[in-house]
Parts: sequence; C-alpha cells; structure tokens
Amino acid sequence: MTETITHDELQELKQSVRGFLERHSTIADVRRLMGSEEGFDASVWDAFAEQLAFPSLTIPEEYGGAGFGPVAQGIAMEEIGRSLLVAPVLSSSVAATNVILSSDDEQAKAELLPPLAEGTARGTLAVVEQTWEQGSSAPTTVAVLDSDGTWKLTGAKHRVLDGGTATFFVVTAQTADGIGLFVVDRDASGVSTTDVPTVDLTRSCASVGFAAAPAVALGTTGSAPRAFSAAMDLTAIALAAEQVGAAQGALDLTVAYMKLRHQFGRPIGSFQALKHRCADLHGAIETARAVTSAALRATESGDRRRVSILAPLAKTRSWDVLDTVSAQCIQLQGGMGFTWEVDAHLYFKRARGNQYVFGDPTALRESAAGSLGLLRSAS
Amino acid sequence: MTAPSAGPGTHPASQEERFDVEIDSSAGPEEFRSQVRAWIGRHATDELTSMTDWSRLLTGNWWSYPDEMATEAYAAWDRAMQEERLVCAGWPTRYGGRELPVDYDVIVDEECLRANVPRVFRDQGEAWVGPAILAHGTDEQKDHYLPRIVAGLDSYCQGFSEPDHGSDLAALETKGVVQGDSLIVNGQKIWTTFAQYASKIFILCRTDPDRSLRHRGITFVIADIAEAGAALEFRPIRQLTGESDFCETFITDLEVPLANVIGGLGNGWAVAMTTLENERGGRSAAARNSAFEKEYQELLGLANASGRVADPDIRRQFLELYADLEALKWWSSSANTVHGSVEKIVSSEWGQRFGHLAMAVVGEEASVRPEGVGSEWEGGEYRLSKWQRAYFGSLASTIASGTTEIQKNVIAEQALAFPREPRGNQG
Repeated sequence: MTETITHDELQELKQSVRGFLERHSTIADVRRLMGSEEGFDASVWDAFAEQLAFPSLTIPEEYGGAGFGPVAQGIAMEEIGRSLLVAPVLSSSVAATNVILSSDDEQAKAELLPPLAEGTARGTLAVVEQTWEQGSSAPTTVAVLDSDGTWKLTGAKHRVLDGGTATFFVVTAQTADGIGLFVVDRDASGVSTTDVPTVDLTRSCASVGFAAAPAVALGTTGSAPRAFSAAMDLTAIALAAEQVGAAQGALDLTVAYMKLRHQFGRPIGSFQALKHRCADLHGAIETARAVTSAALRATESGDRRRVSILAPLAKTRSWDVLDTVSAQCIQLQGGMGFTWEVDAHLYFKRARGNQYVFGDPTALRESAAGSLGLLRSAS
Repeated sequence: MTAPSAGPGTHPASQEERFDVEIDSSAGPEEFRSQVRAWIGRHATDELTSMTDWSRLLTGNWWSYPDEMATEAYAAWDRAMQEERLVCAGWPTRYGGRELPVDYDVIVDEECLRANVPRVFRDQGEAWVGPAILAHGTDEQKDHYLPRIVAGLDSYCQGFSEPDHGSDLAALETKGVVQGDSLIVNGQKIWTTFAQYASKIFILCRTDPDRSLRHRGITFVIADIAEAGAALEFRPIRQLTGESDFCETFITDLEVPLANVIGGLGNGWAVAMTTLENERGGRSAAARNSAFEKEYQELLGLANASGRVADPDIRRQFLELYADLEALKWWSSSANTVHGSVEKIVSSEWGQRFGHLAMAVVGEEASVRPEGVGSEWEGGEYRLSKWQRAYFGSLASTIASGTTEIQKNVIAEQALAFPREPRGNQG
C-alpha cells in the first residue's frame, strides 16, 4: 500500500530535494565525480538517504521505506536530472527497487528492500547482452540448479549501470522452465566486473561476468516476465522525469547565457529568431513534463493499460526533448558551447547515454502502439 | 427532482432564490458526471445526435449550425438546458447560471460529446462578452445583457481586428467620439466571425485620439445590429474552406448610447484582455480536447481498417499525437498550470498535425472532394470531406487569437524573461 501524498507535500519534497542538490551536487561536484573511479560520493549518498529518505520513497513502510510511490519519486527525479547528480539513483533506487517490488517474492522483499531503503545496499539490473530486448526476452546467460540445491549463474552482461559499484545484481537468465530473475551478490564467487568507458561520464557502466556464480531466484520463474514488464514501465516513467529535469537544466543554463552575452549592441536573447527557438524548447519541455505527469498519475490509478501506453511514450518523448534541447543549448552558446569547459555538453552526453537505456525507442513505441490499438496490418 | 442546490460560491443575494434543478452540483465530480449522464439520457432526443459532431466543433467552432438550432427539437433541448441552468452554467444564479466551477462545466461538455448531443453554448456571448461584463460591467449592465445571453435572445460578434491592425491590435484606428450621451463610432473591422448571424457586436474603438498611447485610450462598447441599420455593414469573406464565416465590417457614424460602454471610457483594453484570456484555456480547451479525442479514435479506426496503420511514419505520428493530447488534457485540469501561450501553440499545432496525418491516412483520394453541395456552413459548392475540413480548417488556428509567432514572443518575454521586441516608429 502506498500513502497518498498531497500536492503540498509534493511541492515540499521538490523544494527539499532541490535544496539538498544545490548544496551537495553543484556542477563543480558533478565535474569532480564524473568519470571518477568511485563513481559517486558515498557521503552525499548517505546524506541523501538519511536526510531525505530518497532511496526509500517507493519502498513500503513494512520494509523500512517511506511508503510513498512513483509520483513522489518522480518529483524528486526531475530535480535529480536537473542537477545531473552523479549517484546510483537510476540503477538502484529506481530500476532494481522496482523489479524487487514487482516480484511476488516476500522473502526477497523482506531481505533486500530494507537495506535498499537505508541506502546501505545498492542494486542494479544486469540484463543487456546483445541488446536490452534480447537480454530480457532470450538471454544466453543461464541459471542451473546445482546438486546442492542452489542456483548457479553463468554468462556475461553488458552496460550494467553502476555495475562497478553496485552491491548486488538482479540478473535475467534462462532456466529449464523459462526466463527467471536472479539476485547475485557482487562479492559472490565467479563474479567479475570490468568498467566500461561511457560517453556520459556522469553515469558509470560495467560489463559483468558470471562464472557459476551463486544466485538466489527472485520470484517464481513463470511470474518473472509480467512483473519485470510492470517494473520497467515504472522505471521508464522515472527516467522520463529525470530527462525532463535535465532538459530544463540545459535550457535554464542557456537562457541565462543569452541574457548576458551581447552582440551587435544588445543581448543575443533579444533577437527574435533566438527568442522563438527558446520558446519552442520551453514548450517542448512543458509538453514532455505534462506527458510524464500524466504517466505518473496513471501509476496511481491501477489502470495497467494506461500505464503501458504512457510509460513508453513519456520515456521516448522526454528523451527526444532532451536530445533536441541539449543540442540546441550547444548551438545557442556559440563557440563556447562547443567547449569542454561550458556545461552544455554534459546534458548532451546525458542524452547520448540515455538513448537505449532500458530499451530501444522503436521497441518501446511499438509496445505503446500495441496497447493503444494500432494494428500491425489491415484488420 | 432533487432538492435545489445553489452550488459552491453562491452569490449572497441569490441565496433567497429557489430554483428547480435535477442535477446537484454540490456533489463530487464522479457523482456529478453520473447525474449529468443520466439527465442527458432523460432529456435528449434522437434528432439531436445528427446536430453535432467533432468536425463542427473543430472546424467551425459550432456545436450545431444555425439551421439546426432553428428546429423544434433543438429549441426543446435549449429550453431544457436553460431550465436546468446548464446554459452559461458558470454564471451567477441571478442571471440564469448556477455558478458551476469550470471543471464541472467541462464535465457537462464531455458528457454531451460522449452522448453526441449538442451543448447549448451561447458562443461569443458566453465565452467573451459575458465574462467581460461580469468583470467590468455595472450592475445595470449585468442585469440587462447577461440574462438575454442565457435566454438566447442575443448573439454576439466581435469587432477587434482591423485591416491595418491585427497582431498589433493596440494600434487600432476605429474612432469613438463622445457626443452628448452617445458615442459616434467610425472605422473598419475585419475577421468579424459570424456577424451575419449576430444581433449585437462588441467593438474596440479609440476614444483618445492620441494613438501613441496605444492600449490606453481604447474603449469597449456594445452595439445593437438591428438598431444600427445602415451604420453597420457586414461583407462576408470567403475562406479557403469554402464557407464565409467571417466578415469585413464597415462602421459609419454608428451612434451608440454611452451606457453601452463596458468598463468606462478608455478602459477597453483591460476589458478586451478579459475576453482574450477566456478564449484560450479552460473550458474551450477541454471541449476541444474531447473533440480531438473523438477525431483521433475515428482516424485510428480508419487507419486500422485500411491497413495504412502499417506505415511506420503513420504509426509514429499517431503515437506522438497521442502523447501531445495527453499533455493537453493534463493542462486542461485547472490544477496543472502552464503558460497559456504554450497551450495555445501546442493545441493549434495538434490540430494541424492531426489534419496532416488524416491526409496521409486517407491517401490518394485526399485530393478529390466529395460530390454534391454542402450547407453554407460546410463550404457550399466547394464541399470538402470532414478530413479535408479538419486539416484545412486547422490552418486558421495558428493565426487566430494571437498568431503562433506572437505567442512565441510572449513566451520568450513572459516565461523566459527575455527583452521585449523593439518597436518601429509608426504606431
């Protein structure tokens, strides 16, 4: 059961998160942490958990969480995206938490959710093999039941978000009875990780190898696909909120620049062509925000079909907007926009990194199309 | 019948009033919606379903055409709606409304569209003039004009834009000169929608001859068309869609009582801004969104049936339009704010993108018009299919009520605080 959060409480949460990030995740902090070996600032992560209970927002009270839901998390995600916070938010507090929450496995929830809520454990999904789709629907990673009654996982997963620092993995693997989800501790035997050089230095990624690594099944094999799909819808919406925030951050930066930069005797922001372009970008962000808000609202309604339409649409739309806005923000800052020193490229690279996270946009759109009633051929 | 309900925010003076209505607007929204649905079920007749369509709403801003509104079936429905205080429902009870909140008014519109029956809507009198008079009029003016609008005795057209002053309305030149107890108005207006069917016109004129004052020195005045006689001449202008819904208006020595000035001499700009605010957002947005939803579902059905839905380009456009319609619906709830100019751009462009998609779905036949002659409100001899009308008609929406380009200036200046446009020397 989730608590209903009021509009005022949501605004308060938003302000608290924003205030926290303004203090603990300035652009200087982002630049310091990006591409670093540790991948995030542990003291900031701990404070995020202690002061704001962020990792616990969607975890029910019975598991030590704050007991709110996707809407509260979504509000926070927009602020997190705006600040480009370098932290395992998407991997752990969103994706891994969602998958565990959606499973029918009470024992797993009782074990895994409390440390996730506290921030002491950090999970991540290890799904991608050739692609996300293939890794989730036809993985080559296999799980076999050993003679001692434990599962052993063998395979290789790619582009695992925060794979180098997560404390456990949630892995898709083929079993004799179909595709299953498994939890593997990073310290288990047979687990190896290799950091991957990412375009988006604000997000770390690793390849993870499993060589007969001991694993615990998450939920029953048959229920895995449905639960996983529901979890990924929620994850898509949270990612959409993050992307709206990032787009807003990029535009804010650029609009501020355009008021200061003068050419031909006046601020460049006084030229109509540029005013109109920014009006377009503003409108696009507002639209993506509204679609994401509608998707978040849908998660409260219990209307699965509506969520299955709006989740992929919110994610793809907010990505398209981040893609466009971040590129324009380079353009509108001229020569300086093309430099490493100016922050525009950080948002641009966030877009590059996000494009295929948790699914191919074409596949996502097709999924929405199906739920929406677009037939594949003539009826 | 249920006990009478005054609804929220009742005007203190009207608490003595008793009126018989069936729907209790103090109920929660879901309960209200069921009551409205049931009321429509009890009172609407079958003939009404042929008198409304999303295409009327979207291409012509009509719920029903004048010839349909002249039928006995419609007249009976009009009376029923008036008795239920669902005409100008948001207005104070004193004038015939029931002070219905906007969100509830939207529910009534949605239920009418769902049942495919017309909402009795007093067009510009309800959307523009009424709110302006409620905000700026004297009590006498309210008592005079508003009940007549509710009763359908007056219908209004607008005299704002001029041939030389459209986007820059504050530079308008139509003159008003005070002479005793009258205002003598001279000038020319254009794009006066539905003037041919109106009984009254509301005009913006300059009563202070100093044009450099721009919006200061402009007066808002109402004139009766029958009383004006030859002083008002309307010449219909043909639109690219074939019909002639709007007119050039020639105003020659039009004498109007000063009592018809709303908001006082020189205050017309503020009065007009009330009306322009009402044109965007709120209830009209919600009704438009419902109509968008209907046309979307219909086009989707067509695309599925014909197989055009398999075209990846067409699929993509259906999805993007769906997402944008969700955004428009999100904004139409009063709790979710967005700058009005953003909504206007997204909404008007939605209609155009949709229409453009409709042409692709219809395919090669989109270049051929249907046989026969349409009504005067549907192109007459230049009859178009509803999909052609949906698209061609939508081209006006990015121009009317503030062009997209002007809206973008407004967004840049108000939402983003960029410097304002430099002005030229003239006007």
